[in-house]
Amino acid sequence: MKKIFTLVFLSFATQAIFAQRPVTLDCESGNRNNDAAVCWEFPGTIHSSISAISGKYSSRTGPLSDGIYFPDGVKSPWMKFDGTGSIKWKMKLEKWTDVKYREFALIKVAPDDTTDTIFRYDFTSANAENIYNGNIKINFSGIYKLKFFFIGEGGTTRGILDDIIIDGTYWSSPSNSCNPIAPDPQNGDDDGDGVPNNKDAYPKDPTLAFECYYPANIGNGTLMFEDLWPKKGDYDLNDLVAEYKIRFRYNSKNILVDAEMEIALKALGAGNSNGLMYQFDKIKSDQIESVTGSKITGNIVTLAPNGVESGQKYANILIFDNGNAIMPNGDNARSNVTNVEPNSPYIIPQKVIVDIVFKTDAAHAVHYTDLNFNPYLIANQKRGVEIHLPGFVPSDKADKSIFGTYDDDTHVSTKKYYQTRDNLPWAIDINTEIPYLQEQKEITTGYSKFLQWALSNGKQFNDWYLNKPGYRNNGNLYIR
Amino acid sequence: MLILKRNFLLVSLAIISLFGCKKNDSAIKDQDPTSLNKIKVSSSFDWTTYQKVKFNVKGIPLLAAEKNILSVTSLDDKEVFLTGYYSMGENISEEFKIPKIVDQVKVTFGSISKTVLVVDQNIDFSYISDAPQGNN
Repeated sequence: MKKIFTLVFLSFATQAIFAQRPVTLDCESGNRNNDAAVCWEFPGTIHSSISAISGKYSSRTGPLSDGIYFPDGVKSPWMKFDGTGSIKWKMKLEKWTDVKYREFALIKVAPDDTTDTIFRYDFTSANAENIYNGNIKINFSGIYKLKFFFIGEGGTTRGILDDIIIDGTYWSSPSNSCNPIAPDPQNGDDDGDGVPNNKDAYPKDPTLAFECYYPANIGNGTLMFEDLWPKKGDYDLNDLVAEYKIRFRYNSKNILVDAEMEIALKALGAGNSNGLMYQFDKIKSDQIESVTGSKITGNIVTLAPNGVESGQKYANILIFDNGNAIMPNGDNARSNVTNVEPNSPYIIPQKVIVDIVFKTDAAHAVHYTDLNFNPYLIANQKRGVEIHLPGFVPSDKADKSIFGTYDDDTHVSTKKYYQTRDNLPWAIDINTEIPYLQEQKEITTGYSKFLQWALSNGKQFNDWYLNKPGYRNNGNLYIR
Repeated sequence: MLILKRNFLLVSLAIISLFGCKKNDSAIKDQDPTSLNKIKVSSSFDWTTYQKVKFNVKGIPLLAAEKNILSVTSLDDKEVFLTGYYSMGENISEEFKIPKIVDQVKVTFGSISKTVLVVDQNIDFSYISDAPQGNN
């Protein structure tokens, strides 16, 4: 209990130490919106250069002809007062014409909305256009906001206000509806990581604070591969189909702590025995503390002590090295072909969960911006034969001598990777779960808008994969 | 001589326009879209359903420490694209991927919540809003 109290106290003590004193308003931001963002309020007033008292801008009210029920002026943010110092401001009126009366009032408002007028001033035709320098001693303590209001009736004279200086400590919370800063015993910071319990996804763990999912917290993404690279295939894009979801967890400094990659191998529509890996293009191998859960059944991939593939500059994460070794054969007629023939037995997708722990020290820290997923297929147990998404770089282990052979038109110099001379791909990545194609059914036969999407350079039907009327031909899709 | 040079230039431009880029464009445009195997797509087409966006936030001068959860979500809050604990006073620039079909996102920082358009793969968020009139 004492610990919780101490943490809560420290949290608010830190905030209080940082808080600015005095609080000022000179309107030189030129737009009331800028000051409203830190909880000043401007009922009936704008920042205006007309009749400015000092600098370029002052706060200028409306015509003040509405009477006492519609006063115009400025309201300060919530502030904490300690009975010392003063409140200073400058004010005047514009031209006195047809005025019945004009008054100014300085009112303090408590959080329970009770008010107390602490200063009044009556303008007259003789003093209206002179600058009045307000200066009163603060003789109260506690949390209040101050209203600097003009009221009046008759005529169109406006009030001008500027150079407000209040000896008190700023005590508003702009991201909490500008309410007063207030410690909430229910929302302490049990783990002391600086993130209050009610905002901390892991309030008892000082190493974790938030989590985020890719592609999204609901649903999975879908990877679909052809595996005959560098030769073109039949574009059923089902030689390997996997769904993925990656959960990232961060600490209170927004530094990545770990990732859980959940990959579901859904289909193998190929005679080859293929593997699946991810390269994190911006994260070096030595930024990884550990990788566990990779399904390694052969010897084509060698893991370093921290679990990434050895000999790679960037972190390469093995999901599985042979899909056929982890997923039972579901086709009685063809070996190594599973879940692509509608009349063959359905095999429940095989889920692989790979856990990655990132180093979090300053020299190795990984941020969300550093994430660039580069999934790729290892074809037929040949480590050098990598098949990536179009435009994605090969890993250090890729056999570059294959580039440019057969149908491949990879040119490292122009950063064209894994596309044919007609710029066709060997793999695609969909941001949601979609049904894949049955065996030897080209993707265009299942997704009616796919070709228009490609031919229009993505300008038309960028939602081609959604289940909209006329978008899918379910007869060619593998749907369970 | 000058006229000769100008004519040569015009003829060259005409040849380039006939046999240069236009050839590729028309080849792509006039295709019969029946099979992926029979088409040629633009070299600039990226085949991805994602877009990499840059999330830009300009911090504002603060009068007290103000940290809160900043999140970028779909408009219905069902998909969270980014979340983290940030100070309102810091400039933020984060890159991440969202589906290409998303053209608006919701950005939330505590009680501040705005719908923001995705423009040219940028999400620009400001804490500054139209000031409410406030209660008298």
